[in-house]
Amino acid sequence: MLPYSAEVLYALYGQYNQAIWPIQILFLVLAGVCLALTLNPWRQAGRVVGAILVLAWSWAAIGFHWQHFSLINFSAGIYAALFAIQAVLIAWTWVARGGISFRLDRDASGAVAVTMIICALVVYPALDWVSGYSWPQWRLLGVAPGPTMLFTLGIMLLAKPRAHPVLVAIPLVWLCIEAWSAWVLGMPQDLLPLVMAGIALFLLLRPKRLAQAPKRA
Amino acid sequence: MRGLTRHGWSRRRFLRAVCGGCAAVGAGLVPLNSVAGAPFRKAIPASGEMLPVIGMGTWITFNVGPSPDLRAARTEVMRAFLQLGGGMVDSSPMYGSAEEVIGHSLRHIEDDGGLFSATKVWTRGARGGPGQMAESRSLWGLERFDLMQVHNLLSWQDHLETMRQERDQGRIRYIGVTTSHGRRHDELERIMRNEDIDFVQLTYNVLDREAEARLLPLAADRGIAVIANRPFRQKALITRFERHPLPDWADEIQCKNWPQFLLKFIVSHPDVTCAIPATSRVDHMHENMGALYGSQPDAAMRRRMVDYVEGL
Repeated sequence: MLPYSAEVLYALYGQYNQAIWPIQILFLVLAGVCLALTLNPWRQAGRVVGAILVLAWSWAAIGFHWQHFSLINFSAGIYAALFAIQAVLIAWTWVARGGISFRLDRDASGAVAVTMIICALVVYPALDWVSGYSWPQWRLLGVAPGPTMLFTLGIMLLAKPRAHPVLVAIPLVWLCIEAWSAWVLGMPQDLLPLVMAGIALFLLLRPKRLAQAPKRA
Repeated sequence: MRGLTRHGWSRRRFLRAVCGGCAAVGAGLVPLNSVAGAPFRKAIPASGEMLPVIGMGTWITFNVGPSPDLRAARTEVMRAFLQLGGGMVDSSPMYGSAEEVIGHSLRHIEDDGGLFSATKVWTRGARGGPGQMAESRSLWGLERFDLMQVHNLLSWQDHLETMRQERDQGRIRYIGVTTSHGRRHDELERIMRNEDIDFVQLTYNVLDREAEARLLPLAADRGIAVIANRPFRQKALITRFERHPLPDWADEIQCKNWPQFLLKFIVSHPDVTCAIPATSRVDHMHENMGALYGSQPDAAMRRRMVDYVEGL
């Protein structure tokens, strides 16, 4: 049971995107920086990528949930807290402790990682568009929670060593909330990204012995 | 408060009660073929004040946030509701921006005194109650509410006490408590038996009739008005039934569509005071408000209505 309709949610995104313009461009540039750094062997790349993710989760917490989503949803304060906690967790594990590097493996994790990043950057707003919602009602990476979660999961799949399970807990909770919301609001456009997120979470949480199983020649 | 009764029923409101339906018909807002006589009103037991039996809920439908287009659309829904003879508008601080949007709508409509404002207090403990009620008054742009209810029985002991004080100070006319989805009926029954309240709000519709067994007779016994929420189970009943034709005999009670069929079943129960369907569309508001007019089903017809929908 949600106190708003899909029509109202998209209207809110429309107002929100207009109110924060051109922050969306900044986050797209930062996403490009993230992708460049994941392909770069620079030792501090993990810290910088982590800092960008911290910024995105913090923005989603305060800029979206706290300041805008709370206008129509009394649960938005709780969501803001969840996103803020995720920002703190990323800050602690990736930025403060460091030691994270990135590698694109030619396996399921690598393929899913690339798919997730494409989903976050392109597919999410494209599905909104196909569903009849035009700019500025699109959900965009860095400013909307869904694509931010997808992008983060994609980056985590590229991270070495593997992301700590504590980093996956809140995305898992948010996946459940988004899936439930999509069901209640009748938003089939969210099905594909959410299935992808589910696959990514499975890959991130599977036992290490499965993840590191030797490949047959 | 000149010209008000104990519950603040003004002469203006009384005159509107007599003339409102005629005005709506005269303005061509309700199709003549759906109208037989005056709009259907029932007395609030605590005062005898007459209330139109079709009100308007605002859950989801009026929570449209800051969007000017959606606010303008909801203003038209509110305008149609009041012009067609509607009275009670029910909301809650829990409904996101709904109260703010109601206030926006009311500022853009020349209310002729027909509004019966109903909202709720929804906060844990007594401390936040007065502040929340004051904020609701500010959002609606009103100096007092006709009805203040404890939302879903949350901290009801604290809030009933506060609400009685607010009533004594003229900021509330009636007080009540609410439940929905058939939950906590035992606790609601205890409150109805032991507390001095004017209204209860509960879920009652053609398929959810649990309240008929104890709560509705108790309300009649105790002189408590009953507001029926979820008349369509949030559209689910209409979606479920609209694939089927209305029975031929629906004409006998001037039902032209399923919403009118479902609403007339509810408000024809002798112990139900009003139903509060919600809609975001003016055409649906016209359909709903048709239930305010024409003949109402009697007990035999009500039985027939239940048998028909249960057989679908």
